[in-house]
Amino acid sequence: MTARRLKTGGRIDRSRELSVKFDGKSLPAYPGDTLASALLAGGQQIVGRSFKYHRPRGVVAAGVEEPNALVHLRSGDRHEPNVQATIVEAFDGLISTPQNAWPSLQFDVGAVNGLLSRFFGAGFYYKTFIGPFGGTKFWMFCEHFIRKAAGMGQAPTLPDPDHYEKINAFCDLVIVGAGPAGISAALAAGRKGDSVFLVEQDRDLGGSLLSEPVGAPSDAWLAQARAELSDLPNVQILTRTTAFGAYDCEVFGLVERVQDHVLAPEEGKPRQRYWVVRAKRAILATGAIERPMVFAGNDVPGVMLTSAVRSYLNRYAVLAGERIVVATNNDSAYTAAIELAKAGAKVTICDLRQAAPPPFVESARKAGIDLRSGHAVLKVSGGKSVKAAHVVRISPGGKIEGNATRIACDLVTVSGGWAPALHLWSQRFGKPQYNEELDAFLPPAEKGTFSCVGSLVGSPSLRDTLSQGHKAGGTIGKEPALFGHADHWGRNLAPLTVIAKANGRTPGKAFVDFQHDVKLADIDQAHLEGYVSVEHLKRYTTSGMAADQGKTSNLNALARMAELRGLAIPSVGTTTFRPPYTPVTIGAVVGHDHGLNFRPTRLTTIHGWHKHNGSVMIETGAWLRPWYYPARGEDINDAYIREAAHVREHVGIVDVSTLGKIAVQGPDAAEFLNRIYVNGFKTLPIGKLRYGIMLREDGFVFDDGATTRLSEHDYFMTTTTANAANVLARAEYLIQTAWRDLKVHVTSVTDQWSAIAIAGPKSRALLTALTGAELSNDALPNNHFADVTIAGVGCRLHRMSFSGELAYELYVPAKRGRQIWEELIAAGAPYNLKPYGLEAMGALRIEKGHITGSEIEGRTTLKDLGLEGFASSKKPFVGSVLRKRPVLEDPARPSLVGLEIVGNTSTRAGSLLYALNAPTKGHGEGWVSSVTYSPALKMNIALALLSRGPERFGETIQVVDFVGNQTLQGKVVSHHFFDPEGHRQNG
Amino acid sequence: MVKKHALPVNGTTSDSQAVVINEVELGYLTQLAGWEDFDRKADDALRAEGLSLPGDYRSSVRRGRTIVWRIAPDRALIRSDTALGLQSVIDLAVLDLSDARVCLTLEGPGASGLFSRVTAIDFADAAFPVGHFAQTAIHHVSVLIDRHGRDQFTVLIPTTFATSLISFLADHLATEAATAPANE
Repeated sequence: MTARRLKTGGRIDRSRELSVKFDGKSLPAYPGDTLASALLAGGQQIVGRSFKYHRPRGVVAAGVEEPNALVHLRSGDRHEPNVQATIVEAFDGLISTPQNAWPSLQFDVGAVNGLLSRFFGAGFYYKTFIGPFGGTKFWMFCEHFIRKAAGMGQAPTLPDPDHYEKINAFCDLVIVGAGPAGISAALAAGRKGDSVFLVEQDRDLGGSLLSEPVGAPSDAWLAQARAELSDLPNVQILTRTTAFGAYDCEVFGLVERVQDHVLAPEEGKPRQRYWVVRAKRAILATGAIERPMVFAGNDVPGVMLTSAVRSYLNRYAVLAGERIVVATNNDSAYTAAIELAKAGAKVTICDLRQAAPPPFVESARKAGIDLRSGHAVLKVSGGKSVKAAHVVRISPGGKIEGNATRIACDLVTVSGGWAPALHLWSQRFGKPQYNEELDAFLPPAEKGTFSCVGSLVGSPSLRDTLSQGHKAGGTIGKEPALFGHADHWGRNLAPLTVIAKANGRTPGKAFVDFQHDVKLADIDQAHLEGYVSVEHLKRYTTSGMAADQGKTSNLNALARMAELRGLAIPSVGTTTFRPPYTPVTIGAVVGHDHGLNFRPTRLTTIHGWHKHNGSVMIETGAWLRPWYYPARGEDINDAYIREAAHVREHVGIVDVSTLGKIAVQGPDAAEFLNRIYVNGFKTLPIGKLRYGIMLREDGFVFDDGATTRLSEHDYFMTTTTANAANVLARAEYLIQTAWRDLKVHVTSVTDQWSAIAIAGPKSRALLTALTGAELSNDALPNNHFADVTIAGVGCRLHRMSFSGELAYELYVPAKRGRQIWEELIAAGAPYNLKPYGLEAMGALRIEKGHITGSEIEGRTTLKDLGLEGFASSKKPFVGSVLRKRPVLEDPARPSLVGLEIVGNTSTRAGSLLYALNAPTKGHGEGWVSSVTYSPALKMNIALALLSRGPERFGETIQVVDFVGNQTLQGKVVSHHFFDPEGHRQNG
Repeated sequence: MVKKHALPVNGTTSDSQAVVINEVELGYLTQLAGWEDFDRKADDALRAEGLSLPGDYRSSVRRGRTIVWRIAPDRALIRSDTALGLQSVIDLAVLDLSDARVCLTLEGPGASGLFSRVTAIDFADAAFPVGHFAQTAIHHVSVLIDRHGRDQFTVLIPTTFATSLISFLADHLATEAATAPANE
């Protein structure tokens, strides 16, 4: 293969040379080139090594179907693997390197795999590594080496420095593909006034017309069409944009490569933009992809698709070879062959058909082409480049006859027909229909709101293509009329692409799927082993997988399977097309949803104070909460123990704004609460609040909290932080479905109220001084609330305790939350008020034996948690029936207990519990749910669920942390470790 | 963690359209909810305030700076500069949500473009005329977007998500150095 740049021609800008490098070598490149055209112009025959056998591979195609020319692009933090050189626009400073080759592209030690190919056939991994030495262990050992030897490029390891964005768009019509059909459709629809998205993956509009010789009649029409489209404000043209997915309701996923064609994105520009387009209708003008032929040596560098060679000639002014054999089974190769001959190449056409149409024969003769009808290429010889084609006679029945003739050449082009690019249509609608005349699967011209036009539906000529587009677009304005080359593949196509000997074998490796090194023999072997489904065939042989998704291999693979099974192609079927059509970068999918914006973060209105005062924050769901406030030199343990002890001795405040808060309003609010809580709420007087527990329908505990009666029909419910959204959704669901008889509304007011808990023996004194309210035990007993005013702000003070201390919860209008917190801090100085965090709050509640999400974790019942006494027997409530299931009444079920850990070491939540001398196997008799060091008891304690727990008070058991490989002992006690009578909180 | 941006944020979208993100006082935000015959009862209550109940869930009723949005078949939301005289009665529940939402403004020729980058709503003039609103989500958080000028929007955001959503919006803009974020 002796490719060279022609002195004239092409759609490149020769006024400026670009610096483009591959494997350290400079390539001659101009604006308008692709990396692939620059590689060819630079005489780079080998551009990569194959996936499995490390065979040398060259450029095959000129577009997204390229299976071989995968390279590493850029370096450092912009390094990108598996990039198809055929779609990379040349830019100044472009650096690319080969992949899957060591130590070099020319000499790759991995090529030894080719010698062992007999053992690397279909199913090699399954057969060799699974089973022989006990399960998957042998495979696990070998996997590391295999993955290193096989594969594609190296994944990037550095953070991506570029940014990506997503955008939503709406339009009347999306047109995918801006070749002649798409442009014609856009012109008609645009003139009609429709809002149109015209999507083209290339950098220019034109599609196949860009591969016409410069100065062809289509150039003038194309220029005129581009100008008209640019002047239509209702037509949005998106070039460098791939429609990768078609989804229900005419939703399309697009990726616009905004800045991929430059060295680094401009400031403020995204590298890529991910469009979600919702259209009223769609026109697909996605064209067709030329089909390779399968013969021995069909992967040698220098075997290319004929249409690609034509593109390189006319668009990039690169003559890909000097002595060319064109192998074809249809008319479309003739135009290319004639143009190649006119460009100076010595061309031989091997046409499988017994006779080509007379006009082509005449044109070929005039161009000096050696036309051999009824001939095919049986084998290409050459190692790192094509040396010769071995040509045989083909009988009218498609069998080879006689001996092969050797034709010395440096380029073999193949055209085995065309495969319409129906991926988007098939993603949306499923299986296409097989067209026998065209030997291809086609979508229908119309289905639902989709129209398919042009080569996608096997349009017989350029004029028809333009007409179809014009009609689909709305038939407005003058219909374009262009007469191109008679390049339609369907006429007289001979549906034969596999050239094998009479015994069905090829005289050397013949590849069906270049990218995954799937040979014809692999398909045959899969068939011999009983594979009949193309879906199974794909997975067993891996044909059609990887970056190109079988764009050049699928049809040949299933045609071979059909032949082996003696069936027609439609009976074998196709594999399923799924998005994406071409690879999509993860960055485009992510957009701005990463780093600090990976998900939304929720901050209480007091957050700034916590940060300013040195709190270490912790994520709890979407919230950031103060975890602890370390003094100088303190770690978390020092800090939380100090904070918890301080609350017991003095007074502390903690930000509990994260509690779920729900307004329950309406004349049936009491009845609603009575149904949703296990305990009664109908009798709750105005001014009081009550602790309540909810169950799921299946009888397990769902959530707990307190609900306050503010007025006759107005209640204020609190939930746990974790379950706030779930409780609201559950309540709304019941109101909207099962309880439509109730006049009640629930509304989240979590954001309306900041909440501050003030706990400790000095809390009353502090609040009395600050509010001036009468807060004595008689005036405000436990489980009551009072309206108070602090610094002119109306607040609500609930007397209730989570810590077991004399405690209050202050509800403050959220936007005044920080102000009131600071008022408390200031007023609290004489009382030695200190803030405390989530960790100390946890320690206090564990000492008291109060439950949270660690105990209400979906597997515990009222009885398990010692809360059965709350359940009313006088009314039904959610879960009241199923909580009585025998399995939930089993006395052996784990029940809530306390554990006093023996020794000075703390255990971990999740540790399993075993009797003292029992073997520590299986799931044990229970588990630890919460742990802390208790400053009040001066020991490590835990809450746990233990089988027959309350019956075992006083027993010492084993507490085993299998993760931390630690076994401790714990004494089983009541979970009410501290002040079980409640003197402190009720005092 | 989350970035806290100094407001206003002056920036441009990737297509160089200017946007200013700012926060303004919300004033009073009142929810009116009911049950059977909500249309009539709510309308009667609102008429006493010189307002009325919108007939659909995209248009709004405005009197001066007071706006009524119908946010559900049996709920309306009223933003006002002064407290309304609405009181809960047997068939109507009134709820103060003034502290539950932060009010952002997005203004400038790039405002609708910025919205298109964060929410799946059609902001074309015909699909989202001035005076209309939409309830949708930005970055998974429920918001209400009100268009009060061709390039002028207000967004009601849950108070506790405001810092995070401002950060998310600002992250879509090329901003001037003066509004460089600080870690919060």
